Amino acid sequence: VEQLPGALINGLTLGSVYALIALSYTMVYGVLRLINFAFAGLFTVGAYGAIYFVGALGLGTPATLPAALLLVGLGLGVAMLVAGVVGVAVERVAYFPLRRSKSILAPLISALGMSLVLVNGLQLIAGTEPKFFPSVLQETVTIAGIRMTGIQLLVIPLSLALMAVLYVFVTKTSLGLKIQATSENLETAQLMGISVNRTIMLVFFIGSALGGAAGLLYTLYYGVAIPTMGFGPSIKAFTAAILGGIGNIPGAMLGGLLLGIAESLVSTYVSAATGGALGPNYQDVFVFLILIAVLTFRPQGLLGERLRTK
Amino acid sequence: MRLPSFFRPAILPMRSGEATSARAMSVLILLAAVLPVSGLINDVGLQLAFNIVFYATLALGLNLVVGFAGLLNLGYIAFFGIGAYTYAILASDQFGLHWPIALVIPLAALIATAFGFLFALPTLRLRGDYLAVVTLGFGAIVELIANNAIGLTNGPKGIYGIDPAQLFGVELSGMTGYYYLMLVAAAVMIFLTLRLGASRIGRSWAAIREDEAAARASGIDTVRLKLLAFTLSAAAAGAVGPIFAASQAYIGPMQITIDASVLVLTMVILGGTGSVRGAILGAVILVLIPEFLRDFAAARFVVVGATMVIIMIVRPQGLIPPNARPVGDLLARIASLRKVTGRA
Repeated sequence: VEQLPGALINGLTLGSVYALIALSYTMVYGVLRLINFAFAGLFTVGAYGAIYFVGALGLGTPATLPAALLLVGLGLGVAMLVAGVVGVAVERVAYFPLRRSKSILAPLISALGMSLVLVNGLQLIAGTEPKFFPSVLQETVTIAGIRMTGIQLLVIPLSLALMAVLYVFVTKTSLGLKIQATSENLETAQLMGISVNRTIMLVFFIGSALGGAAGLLYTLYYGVAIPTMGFGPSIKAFTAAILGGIGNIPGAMLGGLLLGIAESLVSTYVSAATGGALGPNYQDVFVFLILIAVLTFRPQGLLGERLRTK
Repeated sequence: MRLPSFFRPAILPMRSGEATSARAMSVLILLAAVLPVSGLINDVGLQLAFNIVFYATLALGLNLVVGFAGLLNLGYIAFFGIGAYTYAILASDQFGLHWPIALVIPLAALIATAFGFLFALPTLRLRGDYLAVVTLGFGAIVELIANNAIGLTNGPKGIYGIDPAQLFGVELSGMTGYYYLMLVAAAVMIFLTLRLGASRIGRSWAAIREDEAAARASGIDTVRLKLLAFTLSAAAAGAVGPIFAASQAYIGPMQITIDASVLVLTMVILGGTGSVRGAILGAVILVLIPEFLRDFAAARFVVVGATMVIIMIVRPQGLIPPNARPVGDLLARIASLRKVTGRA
């Protein structure tokens, strides 16, 4: 029981990273009904972009708190920009030519292909050995009796802030309304004079930028980046998006946070509960069982509307 | 659940196209059968030929679900892994069990089918792309269990010293025996999928693939037929597993990663989704080409990924689509070319 607050904080940290990627899935799925498998790659591309940029500037571990925050802010900006630009390029190359395709298989396969190109291309360019962002905010602080690292203290509010900004952007601005209209009905939106093409590119830019931000936060949390690190979080984020109701922005946030907490609780307690028969490695099995259970009993997700089959 | 009319003889006689394919396939299998005794290939060549036949068999199984029914299975190799591990566990010193392969092959197919049934059922009622993610997750879970359930699977080290296959009291030793065993499996898959494709079931699958809502409206039980395609494909992969495990005397988690699933999928779509000849051609190309990129696993998968994107954009039907007549078309094209040049 004394582990509970720590497990919850870990879960919230992971969950807010999942929520960011889940938002990417949800936004792209909302407008194109496409599972953008390339997020596994964009997540990593963003993190690597930031690591290389900071490395090229010759910045090491910052000495003071403001410098550390500035460094993280700079890294996030670069990660989001790089992932966003690459994400739009992926859309132009791999999805745009298939937008009129009748088959749902073709865009999915193209997305999978793009994800392979990104992850393995990164491996070719950067090598398979781990890369490091300058270590920042490693100090632990104790708030109300709960020990947490500076990173956790940063990741959770930062992700929440990004989500809040996105939510306001989508619901309150005219660009956001265009996104909503396009995801409601692509053809009708076009007839209303919305440049559907530009809107879709914007969605890909925002979605990929969120994925890139998630990639850097994940790297900060675990301390290292490797080219294949996007695979696990992207499956979990997709589960989170379905759990919350795919296409639904608050749903993606809720799903991400719930999933992160569930995963953390399972990895903390399952080993003890089963007398060590199942190690903490099995947390992924539980995430998968959650996905199956949601699809069986509530396929529209917690906050989603019922999806039509076609 | 009442099974669809799987064993009921097809009402239609073989269509001419299918009969031609069946003849061409018989010739191909015969050629493959004389290859080891022809003296044309050495041991390395035989190993390569085994790999081609092995991957072609897997690709034909995946083609059932991706090509015929239009459903994306991204965890296909997990079913193969379940089959391979079933034999490894039941026929090695891991638990001191030594079951005969003739018994394990159907058992492996059955277990793979059961898993396929369990995990596909909840998703098949939903949009097809949910299945893609569930199968991706399923593949990751099977790999995770292979790596972590050390008591059962020996963890990352894998299971060594798997029994060689014994058939009719003869122990298979050396590559040649396994080559022929795999060739039999391939032949079964070839004729099964040709026959299925032309049957009532095959036509229902095609209807679902082209337009699911219309298929349902015409009275096709889409969920049941999708489930049939998925489980048949899982059974095929499960049955191939023991043969492969016996031929290598080893199975480990590195052999059942997502990369392998993606490789087989690329064979199917490169050759021609839904096409039996295409799946075989895809296996030939993707076994032979990576030989040159062997030391660059990452480069290989950049090529595989780019191939998937390019094929989908430029030629989504693949190199040999189901109804293409490559030789006839080529001759016709040459003839028309001659006409043009003759006029000039």
